[in-house]
Amino acid sequence: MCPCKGRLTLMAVGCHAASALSEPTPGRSAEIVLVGHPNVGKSVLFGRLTGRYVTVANYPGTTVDVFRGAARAVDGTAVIDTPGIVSFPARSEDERVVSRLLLDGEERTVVQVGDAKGVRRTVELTVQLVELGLPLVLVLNMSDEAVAAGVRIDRERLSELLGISVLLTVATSGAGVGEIAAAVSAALPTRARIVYPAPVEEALAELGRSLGETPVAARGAGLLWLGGDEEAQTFLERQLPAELLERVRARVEQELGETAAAALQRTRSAYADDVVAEAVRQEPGPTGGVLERLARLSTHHVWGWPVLAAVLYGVYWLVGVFGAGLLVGLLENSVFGRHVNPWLTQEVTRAVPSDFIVDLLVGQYGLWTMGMTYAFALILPIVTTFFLVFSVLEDSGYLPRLAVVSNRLFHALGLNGKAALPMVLGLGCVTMATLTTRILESRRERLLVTLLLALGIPCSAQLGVVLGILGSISPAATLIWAGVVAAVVLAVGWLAARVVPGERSPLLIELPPLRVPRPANVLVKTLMRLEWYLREVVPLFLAGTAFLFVLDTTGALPAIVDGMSPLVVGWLGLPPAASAVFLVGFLRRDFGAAGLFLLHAQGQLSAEQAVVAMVTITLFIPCIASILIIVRERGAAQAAAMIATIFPLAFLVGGLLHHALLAGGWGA
Amino acid sequence: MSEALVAGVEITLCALCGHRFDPQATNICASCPLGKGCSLACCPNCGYSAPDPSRSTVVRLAVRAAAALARRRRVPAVPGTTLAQAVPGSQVTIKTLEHVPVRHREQLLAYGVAPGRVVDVLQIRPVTIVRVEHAELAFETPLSRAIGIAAPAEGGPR
Repeated sequence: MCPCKGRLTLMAVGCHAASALSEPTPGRSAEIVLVGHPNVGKSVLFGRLTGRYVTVANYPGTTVDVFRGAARAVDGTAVIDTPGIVSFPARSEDERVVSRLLLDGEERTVVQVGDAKGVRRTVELTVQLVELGLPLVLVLNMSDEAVAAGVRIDRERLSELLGISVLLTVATSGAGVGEIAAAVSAALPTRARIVYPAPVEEALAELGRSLGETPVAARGAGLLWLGGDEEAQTFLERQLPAELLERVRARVEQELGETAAAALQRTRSAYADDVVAEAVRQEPGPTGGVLERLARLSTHHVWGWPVLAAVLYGVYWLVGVFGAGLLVGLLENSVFGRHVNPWLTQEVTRAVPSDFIVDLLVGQYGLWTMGMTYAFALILPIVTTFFLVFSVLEDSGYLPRLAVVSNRLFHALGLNGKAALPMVLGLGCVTMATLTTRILESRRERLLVTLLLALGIPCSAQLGVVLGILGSISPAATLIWAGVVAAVVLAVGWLAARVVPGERSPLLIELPPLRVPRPANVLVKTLMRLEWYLREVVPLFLAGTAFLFVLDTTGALPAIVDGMSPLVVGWLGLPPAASAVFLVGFLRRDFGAAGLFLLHAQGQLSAEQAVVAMVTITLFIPCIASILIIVRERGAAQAAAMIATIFPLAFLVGGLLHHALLAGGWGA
Repeated sequence: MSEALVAGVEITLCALCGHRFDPQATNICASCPLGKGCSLACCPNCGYSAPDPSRSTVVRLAVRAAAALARRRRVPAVPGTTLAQAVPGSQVTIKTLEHVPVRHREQLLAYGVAPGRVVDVLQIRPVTIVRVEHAELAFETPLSRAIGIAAPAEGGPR
């Protein structure tokens, strides 16, 4: 296919039709932007190019913000990793980040990362990027999987047709990545164009005449706008009167007899079909492997549930039994309880003459005996096992399949199964999961999921502590805790879905293939998360301990405990010591949960009290960091409303449960 | 008693004597000591009483629930076969996306679910999963009901 013949014409630099344009010279851009569909390996490539690790996983939506790093192979050039975008116009908040970035006028080279197995849809996005007139390189990643699937790509022909450099890479192994730097340095601002139906071309010409100098090609910005991109609308409205834009759109759509977006999409799709027909060949590939069969089972309307139950049991066993039971027992009782803490207490008492300092370091509310012991003996083993298991699940590609299985459940909450992703990620860290709500399509969905995350999704450390305590009591205790928390989440979600205005959007999600996780990636990711967790947890645990120490030393703690007594002792039926736990639980609920763990270990909590305390603290807002993120993402008013609802609700549910359990004969 | 709608008025036919009457208009209940909150309709002709669906809370709730269910099941009318009717494991050719809401139509098109294209149907319940160009896409039944498909023999580009 000659790019300049036929219904569709792509005039690339060097093509005779484009030769009249002034020839651009290759130059190094200040920044390289990685753009592409979700889950095609942009973040792995980012890591390869910069040496900087960002969390990568086998599900769409891992990256919800932009990340920057310095390119190792191109001096003075920054690399920007962006959230995945299905196509323009951008639909969700994370996709809008990409539109905004491309239109903001900085000098950039775009590296489009695509799935080598899906050249046709990659090319549709390529065309949109080409039209923006920025220097562009196309990287077809996962080329090993494409070869295994029987996809044969004629790279030279594809490059010729698109008028840009095309590279084949396997980002996870680094194959082909070395060629990117050279391709970026040689990349030219693209001059290629598809010929659209006449009304569209006339509209683009009119916009081009009216627009002044633009950082991206006026044609590309106009096409984005005609396609319905809100960021492009904002971009054009800064330079052109709104009436002109309205008039142009109305005329185009009247002459086309359909929306401009539909006409653009059809033209691009037909062009992509032609390109694929010329440059890609599909040969028979293997069918029906073990992973393929497991993938089918995991989304089956019947077998999907046993698979989920098996996964949950595996997580429970590794985190609750192995992590919170065996490892915590070993560290807390044997290492810290029998050796480290007695030795340190003895040494500090001997070396430090001041009782105040001794108490501050190794007393009841000592920085070491409480803060560091909680962080390292109780929380560290739990989060280590959880992050390990979670990393395996992430890289396997199972998590998006939960969206399919749980879709009906979320339907009742006015959401769709896509909400399962941030909810499950919340088990790792609610703060990060709150950011991930950006992958949801509407503000309403983001608000509902943020509320449910803040209300009832326990983070890994807390979950481990809960499973550790309740597992040692009885399976019934665990079931009561899970049942009550789930019931509260469902009831609040059901109610909120009816109160918050707006419509539910149906599920539409891409499912990545199930893959065997790469041990190196799992290990790196676990270590990174542990480092991040300890950096956040240790200072907060020490601050919380110091806060308690000050309250205790000044005599304020007994007064606060007395003040909270009607609520904690009278309403919840817990011992007075639990007041201090709830006090630090406001800071971080896993800190509070760790305190409850020790109270239980010291025999100060009965089985009934342990269940009530765990339910109450699970329904707390997770931590100060999550509140700050909620304020940033949803605004101060919504955050304040959530706080005002959640804390009283936690105590209300805890008290009701206490009285219900007493009535049922549990507390006798 | 059976019911019919005559000129916008619900008319009940007494099962015992065949008398036709409007249960709302009858004043026989006013003299009954159990009339308040009663869900029975008494025939003014013979006194035979039978449940009056319009007065029963249970029936009213059931009718409302059935109507809501019917509304939910009411999908855009796609002439011919829809993707929701496809057999898992089969290959089908997409015929039309006309009835898919614009927002989702754009997404489906971006993934390659476009008229004329052949997709592998992997699953229908609990949601539809299709494979197109080595990518698996899951979407809810209301969307698959709005996607028209052609008979497999008609074929199309893959």
